[in-house]
Amino acid sequence: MDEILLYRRDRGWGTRNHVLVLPLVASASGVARAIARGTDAIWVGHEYEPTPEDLPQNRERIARTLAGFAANPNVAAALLIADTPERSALLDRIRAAGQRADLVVVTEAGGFRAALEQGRERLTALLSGAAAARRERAPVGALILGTECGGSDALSGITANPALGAASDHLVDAGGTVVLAETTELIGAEHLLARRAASPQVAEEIYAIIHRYEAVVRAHGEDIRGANPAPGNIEGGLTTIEEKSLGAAKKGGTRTIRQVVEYAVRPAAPGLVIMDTPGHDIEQMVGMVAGGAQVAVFTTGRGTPTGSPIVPVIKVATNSHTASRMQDNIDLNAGLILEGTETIESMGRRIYEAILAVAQGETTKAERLGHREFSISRYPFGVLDAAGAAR
Amino acid sequence: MSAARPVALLLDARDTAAIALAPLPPGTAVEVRRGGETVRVVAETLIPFGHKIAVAPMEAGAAVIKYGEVIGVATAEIRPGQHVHVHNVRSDRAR
Amino acid sequence: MVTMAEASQTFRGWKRPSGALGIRRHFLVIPSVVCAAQAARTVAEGAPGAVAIEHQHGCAQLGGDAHLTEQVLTGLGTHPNVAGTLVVSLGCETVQGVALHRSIAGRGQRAEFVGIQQSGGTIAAIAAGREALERLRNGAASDPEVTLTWADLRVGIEAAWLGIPPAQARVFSEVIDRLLKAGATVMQAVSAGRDGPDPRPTQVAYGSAGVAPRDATPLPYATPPAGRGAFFMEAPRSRIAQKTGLAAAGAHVILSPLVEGLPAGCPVAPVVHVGIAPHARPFAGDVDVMLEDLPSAGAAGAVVAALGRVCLEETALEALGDFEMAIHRIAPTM
Repeated sequence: MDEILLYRRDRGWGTRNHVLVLPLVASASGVARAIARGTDAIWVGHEYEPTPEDLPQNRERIARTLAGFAANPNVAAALLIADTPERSALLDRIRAAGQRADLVVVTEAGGFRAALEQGRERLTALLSGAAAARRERAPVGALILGTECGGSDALSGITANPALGAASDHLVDAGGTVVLAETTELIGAEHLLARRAASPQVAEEIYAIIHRYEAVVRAHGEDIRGANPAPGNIEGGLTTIEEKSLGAAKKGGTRTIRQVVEYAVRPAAPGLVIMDTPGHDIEQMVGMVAGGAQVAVFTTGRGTPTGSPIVPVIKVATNSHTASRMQDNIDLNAGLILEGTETIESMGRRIYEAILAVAQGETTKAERLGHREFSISRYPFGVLDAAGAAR
Repeated sequence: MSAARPVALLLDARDTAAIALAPLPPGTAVEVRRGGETVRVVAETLIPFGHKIAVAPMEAGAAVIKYGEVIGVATAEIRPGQHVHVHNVRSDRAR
Repeated sequence: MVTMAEASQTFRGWKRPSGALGIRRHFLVIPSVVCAAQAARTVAEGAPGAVAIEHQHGCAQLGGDAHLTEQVLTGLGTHPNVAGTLVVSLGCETVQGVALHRSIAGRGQRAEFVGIQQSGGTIAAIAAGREALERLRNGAASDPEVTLTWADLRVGIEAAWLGIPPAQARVFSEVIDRLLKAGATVMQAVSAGRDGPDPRPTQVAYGSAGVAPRDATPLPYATPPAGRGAFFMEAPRSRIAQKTGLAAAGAHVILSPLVEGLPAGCPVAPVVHVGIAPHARPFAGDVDVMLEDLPSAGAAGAVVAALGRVCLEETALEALGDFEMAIHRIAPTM
């Protein structure tokens, strides 16, 4: 199958037709929620409040995250909620990316009630515009797949991640894009990834992003043990970050690594790319989605139920125990590989087919359960400056 | 019982630890294939599902190998059949 | 001398099994990690008195930073306005839900625990969570009603990093003075520390609302004071993270000066918003007290009265039932 049915946008193809209500600062979350309540729109809340201590690089990173998220092709239109007019620059940025968007400024509107009224009016217009969208034939290569593993166990690297790797290879071969992320969970696997880099420069960037994270840990006088592997990973049999990483890296497949992109940056060309994100499951997913991913596969050993507000997330269990215990949450069971009824290749094919079906509208369990986790990621630029490891 | 499923899996011929595919009670005989040969060890203690069992002796300070790659350093001598985990292996990274 | 109304004011309250005295009967649902937030919210939806907090932390955190998150969540779970706490855990997270539940229950709080992985998924966990909430409600029905005075209450006061103009700051000084005279404990946030992963240490404690008494005792973020009186709490500049820190330290009620940003509630404590002109003028209808450039002589009395009122009655933000939450972080996410 070379063509699938997707929503055509000015900035790519969408697998969903959401209208998003997005607060630009934490204290606008309540207004955003009130505007979206009872409508078909999706809203998210977050904790970000600008303060004078924010370094300009972090302001830019957060603006990029919010703009990229609102302009994701799965979003037909976005309504931004700001506290004060100074934040309207983000509206221009999102519109410049080709997104239909509108803005409510609470102080300009004259408070909560007035903003709610104004927001409802603008949202209604955006929703009726979105309702007219229909799926059209699109190349499979239009897909950007986000890959993720969470609640990993010792089988992640043996069953689900290699199977997702096989699916990733299929998508890359079909002209699509695959994002491998979670930099902290590549620590110990960088030499294997660097060997697959498209150029010496890409190889160097792979080493650079990994060494940066190690520098952050050292600058805090901490030890990554405790944070990673997490307690559940250790209980699942993972002993060290290297062991976890060697298993985690398998989900990107085996193809050439074309590019290393910063957090929430859209890949410049198709193929396999690495995005520099934290290992934190939600911050990672938000980064990939802000970088344009319209569909995601999330492998899990212990059973992580999380999703995304605007992107379908397919859950693949690493073992049959978790797949049956958490069947409300798990879409596919790669544990069958251990039982001999599936192989990595056949499971990879199943995952690939699930990606195409979900891209065309089949809902995932995370979508049906309403899992819509969201988080704003801040980067330790200041710490890295101090440690002499800044980019 | 040649059809019986293996109870442990060695992922690479260079590996010094295998993965338990079921909980292995103490005394369980474990066989894994390494290249053309069969390696036999006996579980010293309970090895939980998904955890690692040593299939080669490791000195304190030696590399622990899985996937054919270094996953950490032994912090004590590890004998074949012993549970390989956070009590006798440490990470060599980000510390 | 004018007799101040607050001297003899009383409030309806409840005595918890731990001995704590609260002015609300909240049932708090705490996700130990962001991955459990959706389940926690669903558990609380439609349940009488239940409030879910939502946060974005609990995993991929370094040691000291993870510890602070756990301390904040423990503080909220043992808040005097909370009659019972349900911890919803994923299972594999850094801030282990089991340990969080143990630490909350260990301080004498009525507490329950539900694990998503342990229960077998989101749907089963939500069902178990609803039953656990019911048990908490039944247990709390026996908490005796008591009459409280200002001497039983802690008032948290947010800082304003933009600085409050002197005329309006004087109102806060008077408010603090009157509350202390009435016997209340006053905790003032001061943003002198680091804010999140970008350390820009500031040399001076500035932005605190009103002049604090000379004998105010310093208090680390989210740490309950050992006794009564006046305290300074070290806090980040994020107003929402300040509220969370003051609440985690046991503030029964929070006073929020708005020199920037918008009103925002707190899951466990009512908030009195004082709008500072000119910033708050456009949304003056959303604040409890508006301070113009030259506040009237009765301004401090109006603020104290508003504090007393919200101790007695639910605020509009509380009635909406959902709140912004932010936890101060001292290291980046890994």
